[in-house]
Amino acid sequence: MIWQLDLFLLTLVVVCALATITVRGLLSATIIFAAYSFLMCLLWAEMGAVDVAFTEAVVGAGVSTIFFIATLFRSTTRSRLLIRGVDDPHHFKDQGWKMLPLMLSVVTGMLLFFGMADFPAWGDPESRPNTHVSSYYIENAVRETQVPNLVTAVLGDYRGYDTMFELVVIYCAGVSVVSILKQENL
Amino acid sequence: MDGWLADLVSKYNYWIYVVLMMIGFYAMIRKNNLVKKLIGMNIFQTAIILFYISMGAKRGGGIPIVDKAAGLAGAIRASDIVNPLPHVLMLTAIVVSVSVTGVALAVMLKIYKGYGSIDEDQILERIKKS
Amino acid sequence: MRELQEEAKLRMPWQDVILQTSVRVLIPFIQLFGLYVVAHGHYSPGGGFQGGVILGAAIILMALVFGLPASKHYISENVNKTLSITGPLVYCGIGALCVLFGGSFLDYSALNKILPLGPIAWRSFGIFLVELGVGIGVMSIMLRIYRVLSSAGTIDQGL
Repeated sequence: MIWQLDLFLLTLVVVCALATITVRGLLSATIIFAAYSFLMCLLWAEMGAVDVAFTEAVVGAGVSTIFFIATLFRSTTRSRLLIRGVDDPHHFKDQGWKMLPLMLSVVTGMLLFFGMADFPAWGDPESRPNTHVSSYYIENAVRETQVPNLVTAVLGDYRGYDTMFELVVIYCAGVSVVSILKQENL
Repeated sequence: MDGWLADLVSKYNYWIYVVLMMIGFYAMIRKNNLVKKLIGMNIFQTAIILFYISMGAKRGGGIPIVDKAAGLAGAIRASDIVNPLPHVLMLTAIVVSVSVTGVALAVMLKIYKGYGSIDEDQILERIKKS
Repeated sequence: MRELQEEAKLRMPWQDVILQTSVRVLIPFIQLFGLYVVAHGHYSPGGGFQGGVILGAAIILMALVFGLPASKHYISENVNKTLSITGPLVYCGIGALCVLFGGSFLDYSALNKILPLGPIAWRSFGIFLVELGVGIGVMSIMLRIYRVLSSAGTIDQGL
C-alpha cells in the first residue's frame, strides 16, 4: 500500500464521479462511468483486494457498460436540456424545493462525517473488523481446505450459504429481466 | 509524516467514501434522467464497497493468497495478510449489483416503450395526460 | 439512436472483414481464459463469478460482431435457459448430496464416502464443483440479460 498512489487514485475517482453525473450526453456518461470503474479496480488492487479488483474489472467496467450501451441503443442517448426558468423539472417548481436534494445529501454526508471518529484508522491490523473471525480464516483456511486463495476458501466453504443465495438472486434477476421485457413465454 | 497529514491519510479513504456516497445520493434524487439516476445508484454501491474494502486493509499486509506449504504448517500470522472477509462479501455484491442494474435497465426500456422518453418530467406529464 | 437502429437493420449480413476475422481468432482464447479463471481460482485471483462473466462476455462479443442470430446458433435460447437454472441447481445439488451422505448442508467432507480421497481434499474439490456451478449460472444469466436488453425483448436482432 502506497499512500501517495492511494491519494492520487481517490482524487481521480471523485473527479470521474462528478464528471459522470454532470456530463450531458448519456453515452459519454456511460463511458466515463466505465473509466470510473477501472479506477476503482486499480484502487482495490492497490489495497490488496485482488479478487474484488478482478471482479470489478470484468463486471463493473465490462459487462455493465455493455448493458448500459445496449439499453441506450434501444432507447435514446439524449437527455433533455432544461432551460432555467422556462421548463423546470415537474416536481421542483418551487424555488425552496430545488435546494432540497443538495441539502439532503449534504446532511447525510455530515452525519457520516461525525460518525467517522469511531472508524478505525486505515490499515490498522488491530482494529475491530480485522481481529475477530477473519484471523481464524487466515490462520486455518489452508489447513482445513487446502486452498491457498483465502477468498475462494471463504467464498466456497465457510460462507457457502451466502454464495448460494447470491447465485439465486442473480438467477431471479435474469428471470425478471426476461419477464419484464418479454411477456409471451418465459 | 507529521500530525495532520498522518491524520488525513489515515482517514482519507473514509472521507472519499462519504463524498462518493453524497455524489451518488444527490444524482439519485436530483437528476432528471433515469440513466443518470442509475449511474448515481452504481456510484453509491461502489462507495459502500470502497468502505468495506478500506476497513479490511492492513498496513503492510500481503494479498490474501498465501503460500500453501506455510499454510499447512500453520506458519501464517493474521497480521501479515489483508482481511479476506470483506473481499468475499463485496465480490458477491458486485455481481449482484450488475444484475440489479440489468433489471433496472429493463424497467427503463419498458418505460421508454410506454411513454417515449426517459426524462422524468416528460414521463410525469404524459402520465397526467393519459 | 434511431439512425443507428436503422443502420443495424440494413447491415444485417454483417461484412466487416477485419473485425470478424480478428474476433473469430480471439473468441477461443477468451473462452479458454474464462475456463482457466474458473479452474485456477484456488491458486490465483479468480473463481466462478469472474470466469463465468468472462465466458459470457465471449459470447456477447460474438453477438456484437456476428449479430445476435449467429450467437443464437452457437448457444440457442433453450439451451441458455436450461444452463441458467443448471448453475444454481448444481450448487444446491452438491449441498443436498452432502446431506444425503450424512454431513450437514454444504459440508463437502461428507462426500468422502463416494470416493475416498480424504475429507480435506474433498473440501477443496467441493469448492471447485461449486465454483463450476456458479460459473455456468453467471455465464448464461449475463448472456440472457444482454440478449433481452439489446433486442428490447424480441431476441431476434441485437445491437
